[in-house]
Amino acid sequence: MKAKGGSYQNLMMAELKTLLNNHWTLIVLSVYVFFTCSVYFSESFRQTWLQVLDGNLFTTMINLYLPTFLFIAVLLNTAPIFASDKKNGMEELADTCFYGKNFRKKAKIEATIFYTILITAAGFLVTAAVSLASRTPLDLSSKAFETVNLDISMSNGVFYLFCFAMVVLGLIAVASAVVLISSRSDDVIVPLASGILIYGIELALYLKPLVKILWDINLLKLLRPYTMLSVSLYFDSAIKALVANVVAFVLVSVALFLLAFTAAPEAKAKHTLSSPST
Amino acid sequence: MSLTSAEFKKIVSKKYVWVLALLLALFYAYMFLNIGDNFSVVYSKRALQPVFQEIMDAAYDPQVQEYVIKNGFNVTFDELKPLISPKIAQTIEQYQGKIYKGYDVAKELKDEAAVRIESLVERNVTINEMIQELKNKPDTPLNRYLLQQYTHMPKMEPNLTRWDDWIDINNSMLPLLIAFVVILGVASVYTGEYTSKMHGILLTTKNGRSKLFWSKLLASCLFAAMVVIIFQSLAAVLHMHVYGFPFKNTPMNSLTSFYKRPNTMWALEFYLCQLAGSLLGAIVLTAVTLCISSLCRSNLVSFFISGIYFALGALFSQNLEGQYITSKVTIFADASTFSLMSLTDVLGNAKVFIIGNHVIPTIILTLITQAVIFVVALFLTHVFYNRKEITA
Repeated sequence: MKAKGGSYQNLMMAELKTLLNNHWTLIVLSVYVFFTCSVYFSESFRQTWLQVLDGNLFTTMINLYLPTFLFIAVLLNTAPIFASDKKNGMEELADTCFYGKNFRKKAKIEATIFYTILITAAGFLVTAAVSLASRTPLDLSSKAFETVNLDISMSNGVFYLFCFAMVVLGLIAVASAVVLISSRSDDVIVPLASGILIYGIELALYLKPLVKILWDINLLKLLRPYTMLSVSLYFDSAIKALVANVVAFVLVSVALFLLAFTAAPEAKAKHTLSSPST
Repeated sequence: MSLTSAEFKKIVSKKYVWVLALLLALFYAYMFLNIGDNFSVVYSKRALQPVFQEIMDAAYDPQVQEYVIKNGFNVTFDELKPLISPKIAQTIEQYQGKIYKGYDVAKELKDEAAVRIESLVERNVTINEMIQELKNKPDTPLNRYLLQQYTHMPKMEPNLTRWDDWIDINNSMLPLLIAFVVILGVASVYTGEYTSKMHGILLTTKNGRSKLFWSKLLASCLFAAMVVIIFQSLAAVLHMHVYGFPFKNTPMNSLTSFYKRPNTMWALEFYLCQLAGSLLGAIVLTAVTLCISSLCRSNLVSFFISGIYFALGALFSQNLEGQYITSKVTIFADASTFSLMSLTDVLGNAKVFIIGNHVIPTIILTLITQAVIFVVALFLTHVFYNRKEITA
């Protein structure tokens, strides 16, 4: 994997840095920090605009609000990941390089996954930090949703970790679809619009459970993890629904990333044949 | 004109717009057709429409009213049977022994008929009580307005038409779909020119950019109008297929969601207003998107900011449903482009806002705000697009 100008890891780190340094990451996180501070420090804001879950602000933020901000950040950063290369001719340039675009493509996909994990972690940490700064305890040892009769019960600490894992999986699933569409399109607007469309369709299927299995296996459930702790429409237990949802989205994500990666040779051949310089 | 048609062709030739629009349309149709075989869709209202007049007569019969009120608005069909027209029972008898998806059709229809009669009696009693309350309340501009509206309402009818569902077309989903496709098509009208470096070259042409500005605007508005017509027609066709025609025109106060609202409109009139609002809203959204597109250098930014502009209004508006007074908090939602495209909240609930001694319908505020947004957006687009670029 050693390349002349550096290693594969260097390439991946460079892509990751590009994603992290993107101004969209900063803008979305800044807006989220502002929103979180308003929630934690202003009672009137909380009362007017917020629907509090389980009487726990941290649970509320990581279930109802943070995933939406993270979705926007991931969408805006991953949409141009391949499409913008085509627009400015970088794709052809990569074709002529020693390692071609396969390494670059792989590095971009890995960077997207790491970026999703890092930005989700950052979102959780920021929320926890603001929570502690406002002297709102995280209540790690108490039982999550104590007053509700849930099928799956756990302590708040474990529930927060569960939420982190589910949100990461949901965002990686979105990223995989957007990356695939980005690799097939030369206009940035297409992956961006497709990402929004996917979210919209999943939201509609979640709000109107016309097809029971599509309500249980739904992106919105991953992005609102508390909804997975109780009630399944299709399966006979919430645990089965949770496992099915996780397995389905892991498989879909892997399949979409593989498709995005394997799109390379075809595009390469097409470009080589159609290029006037060859 | 040829310039406008060229610009229009440029917009409609974007394949991805039509692919995504088709996906949206298919999904909308799928969601909608899924409810087509529900009991409430197939039987509830449809089977009782032949005895619409008889049910209405029953609800306005003093003997029936007295009986329903005496029993606390909780009566059965068998209790009402001796007091109402035998034609109602005969119509229901046709379905005797018929079972649909586990429902005993005749039994369900008897319950439905009883509910329609008792709810109409209850609604009339509620409105009369509200009128009496208003007469005893202090003489404020709002109370005066409400009294005027409630006393001039058309006679309430049984809710047996399909107008509830027809009006719901534009409640939230369709405006969102239309807005999505409009933004998708229009967001790259100017940014495409910037990224292809055509913007600077245009300064060297005979007509410059000014003529192009109007052509682009007209072409974009035509595209928005076309999207509105396509989606509204699709929704109307689907509704016609699932629910059929709305049976007859009915006052808005006969519909469940609006009966307590100070609304004196008729359902058909309101639906036509919704269609006009959808078109006007789409055109305002086009102007805003063009303005953002002329300012941005990237499709991504243009699409995203335009989407945020519309989505904020939609989110805000959806969280405030069910009130009929516009306050300082709700004013941004009520005056939003989404509100104009939906009109369900602003016009359906007959919202008003109070300035001093005057009660003004919020729809006027919505229209004025949107007209101002349209003009400002056009002006800014003109400024941004026609500014000289000296980057040689």
